[in-house]
Amino acid sequence: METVMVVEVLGGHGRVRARHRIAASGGEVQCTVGRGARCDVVLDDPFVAAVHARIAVDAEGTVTVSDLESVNGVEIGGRRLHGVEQVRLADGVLRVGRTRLRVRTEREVIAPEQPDRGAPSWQARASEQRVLAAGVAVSVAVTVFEVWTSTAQPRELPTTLVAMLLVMLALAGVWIALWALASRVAFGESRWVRHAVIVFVVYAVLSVVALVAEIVNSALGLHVSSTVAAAVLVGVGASTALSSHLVNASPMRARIAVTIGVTIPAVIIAAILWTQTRNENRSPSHIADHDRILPPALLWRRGLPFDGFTAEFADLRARADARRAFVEREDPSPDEDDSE
Amino acid sequence: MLVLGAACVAHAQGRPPGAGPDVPDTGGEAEALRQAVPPAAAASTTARGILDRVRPAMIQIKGFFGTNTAEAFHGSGFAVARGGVFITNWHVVSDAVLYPEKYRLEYRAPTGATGRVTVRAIDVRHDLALVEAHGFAPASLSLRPDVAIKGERAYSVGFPLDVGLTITEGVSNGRVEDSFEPRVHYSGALNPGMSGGPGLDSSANVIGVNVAGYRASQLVAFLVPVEHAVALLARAEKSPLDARRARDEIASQLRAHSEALLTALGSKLPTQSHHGYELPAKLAPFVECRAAGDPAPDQPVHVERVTCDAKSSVYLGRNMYPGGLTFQHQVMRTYTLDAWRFANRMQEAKAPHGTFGPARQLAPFACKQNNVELNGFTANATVCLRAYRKLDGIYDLNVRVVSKNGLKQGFVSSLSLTGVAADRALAFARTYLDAMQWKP
Repeated sequence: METVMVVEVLGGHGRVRARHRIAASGGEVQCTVGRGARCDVVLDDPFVAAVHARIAVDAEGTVTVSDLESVNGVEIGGRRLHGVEQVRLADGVLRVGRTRLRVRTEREVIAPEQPDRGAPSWQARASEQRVLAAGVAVSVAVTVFEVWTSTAQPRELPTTLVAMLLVMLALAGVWIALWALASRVAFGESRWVRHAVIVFVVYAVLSVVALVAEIVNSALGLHVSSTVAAAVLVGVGASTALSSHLVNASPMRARIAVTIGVTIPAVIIAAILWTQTRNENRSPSHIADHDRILPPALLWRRGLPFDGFTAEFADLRARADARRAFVEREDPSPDEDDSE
Repeated sequence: MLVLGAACVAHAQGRPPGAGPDVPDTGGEAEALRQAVPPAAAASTTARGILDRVRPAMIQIKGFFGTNTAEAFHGSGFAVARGGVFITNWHVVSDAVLYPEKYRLEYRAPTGATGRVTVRAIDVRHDLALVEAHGFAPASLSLRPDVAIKGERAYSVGFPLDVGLTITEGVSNGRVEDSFEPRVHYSGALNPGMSGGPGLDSSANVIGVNVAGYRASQLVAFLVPVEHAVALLARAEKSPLDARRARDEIASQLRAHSEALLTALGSKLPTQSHHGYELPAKLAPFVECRAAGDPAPDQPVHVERVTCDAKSSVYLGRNMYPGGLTFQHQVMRTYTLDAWRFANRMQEAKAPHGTFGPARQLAPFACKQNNVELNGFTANATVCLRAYRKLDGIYDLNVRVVSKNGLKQGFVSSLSLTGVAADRALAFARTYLDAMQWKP
């Protein structure tokens, strides 16, 4: 014997805008839906009749919807019904006018309570803010270090520093604001702290890793191609950032968001790298530089002995000939360039 | 530098408006001058006599693109042997030799006779070519292989700017001192279009072949000593030169050129000390070095730039001047910057690296970069080699050395050696690196 049903009026993103609890009267549970004040569930929807439909639950818990001769009818499971016609409701969702309603009964199977192992919400927020603070601090520190390193005239340092920091913060601010806007559209909440964390943490990690990699590369005299290393690094950073932003700013499933977030940067960077490599392999003026000059204290490995280095010249001629054969085959008549 | 090669070949648009095909030998102006300045009068009489003797042996050589009747370039030539054999400059005929399917050559004699021109022999090093004018065989001019002495009266004849046969009068300043390529310094006007014409003494003997003038200077011009024309004449072949054989010939001449250059430089390079670094300096009398820097005292980094040039490059074709040797050192010092920031300045100083050249002619560089222990210090060295696409066995060498031992001082040095055999180039790279030394 059913004693109660709940009719929920749904808004955007499936959110419940209003909830009506209907108790049994006279042995059955039922209610009317419409714009009129006499209805049990009053909707503010111009496409709904004064008394639009009736919803009832019988003793077995079956929900039945009747259209009360409305103009627009009732939409259930993609079908629209008109006139007095009774239809059983399967998943509990129906549409009246442009409003979606969900009907819940006593027989609804309720998922078990999930144990909350996470930190209390204030604590979660606080830890997110701590990560943000750390990310911002490292990003600012890296920028300050870069500016300090590269400013030619030390007395210009303060102005350059202020300008660079303002530019960095302004760009980050615009970027975060755009994603926060996307989050608000998708979920109704801005999540700006989350987006700020993504931007600053990715930037901080990327800068630190790049700097360390560059120092190690030169200190050990590895001469790893910086073009490829930089592309990989930027690719990983951009993919992480974009995926995280998308997960937090779009209702799509996480797997799809990550796929998109990884694919877009990967395709763009691969295209740039391909074009660049292709041009370099054909240009007679390109000389790659895989070394960064560091203070002598950071030179951790001695250089090659003179004879060892000059012995390495042996294959240069063969390699130059191979490059000649390559361009003669792949690029027999390039445009006459106007260099010189 | 030298207005060599294509610059000397006047293009059609360079022709002054209203210039007729023929310019009279002496005009009213000269007549007036003759009265005002008596010594010039005697000279001009000589000039007239020389021009009368030289005129029959002169031709104007014109190049045409495709089937066009409008010319693409032009220069001068003069008869040196019987049977219509003429001397001109390599840079006058280079396009036609390298791209015979695109260009054709014709001559036009002062008599108005015209006909086909074929190239018989070339000397790229000395910018000479031996050509045959079909159907035109005047008496040849007499050649005087000993170099005219300084101060001797000299004349130059040619077709400048397409305004007709012209003679200019000047003074021979003898052989140019401190020049790798032998040149006679002619202090007289030499203009585009006169390339390939004769330089003469006052008895109308040929002392040289017009080759180049400094565009920005007044009356500083050069002649190729006539002994090279004699040598070219001796090895001229009967058959015309085809493009394939010409390229082989060019390659072997370039190899000989760079071999001579590097032999002249020797295996032990002289150095100069720059704040503790011994670096290659003026390698030979013909190498021109210049040093400069920013004189402002409050710069955080003091930079001295030394640039040396052997001025040995030869004109090969459009945008191509192989055979040269240049190097540059940027020596840097700081009193105010720490080691990290100074290292970053060094990094920036080496950044604009790379040498340019036409992609049609040159293949990409193959490089070797490593840290290497030089005499007393560690440096990062990059040694690169690129092949010429159309010339077998000819390469460009590019070396860059950056010192890595200094907290407060360092240098970036780069060397470029062009149009050279690979093993010779790499041996010189070794010599160059070996000359560097840290002697605090």
